[in-house]
Amino acid sequence: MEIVISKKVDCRWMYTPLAVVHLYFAFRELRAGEVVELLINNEESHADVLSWSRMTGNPVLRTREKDDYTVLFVQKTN
Amino acid sequence: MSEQDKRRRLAIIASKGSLDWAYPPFILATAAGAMDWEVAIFFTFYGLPLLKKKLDAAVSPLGNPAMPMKMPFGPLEKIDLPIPNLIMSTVPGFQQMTTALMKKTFKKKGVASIEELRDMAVEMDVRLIGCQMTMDVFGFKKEDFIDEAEIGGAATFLEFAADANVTLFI
Repeated sequence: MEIVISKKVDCRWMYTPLAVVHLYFAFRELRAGEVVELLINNEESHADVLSWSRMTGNPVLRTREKDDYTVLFVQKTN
Repeated sequence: MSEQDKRRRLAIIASKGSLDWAYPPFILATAAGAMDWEVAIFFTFYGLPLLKKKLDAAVSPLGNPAMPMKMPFGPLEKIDLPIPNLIMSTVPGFQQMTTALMKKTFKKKGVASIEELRDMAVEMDVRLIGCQMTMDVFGFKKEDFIDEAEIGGAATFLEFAADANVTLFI
């Protein structure tokens, strides 16, 4: 499935709670169904985003591991 | 309001105003705000200055033997040498230096500043409540605080906290 990216958010080199805070602000600008491409490079941010996803109901559609960072595709559902 | 519409709620009392202790309330408030929780922070005693327009939170190694900060730059960065606090912390100017070092280290490592976190909290409509009693005792005026701050007392906090899912005293 081709994922259409509406916004790219780079949270590499950031610590808690910045990844989910930047996701929140990005999602405020988006409509339901749109997807954010989120770049992170530490385990803390990854865990945070998964918790945030479970709490808010906005799913992580796909995870892509790069050499030194991770890309998460997060969809806004409501 | 149906159960489904009910937002989760976080209630925090911020009672400490040093740079290190200023982080937990704002980090947790913004994380909860990002999950669309309702959040209120009640600033009392030494936490109250965190509402000031211009923040001046500092950190002291005095009486803080657990402080493990390393030098953030220079040749000592690689060495596991804590900032000496036993003797040095009583030297005039040492607290200012420690504060500057902590701010520099945090910035270098990608940690948000207290100012940034507070701005984000305001943007998320986090309620920031200043304690009137502390204001009067320590001589703060409402004009000293950011415009978004409101004034309240213990009952104001408890009314909000009565329906909170998480309540923290920091």
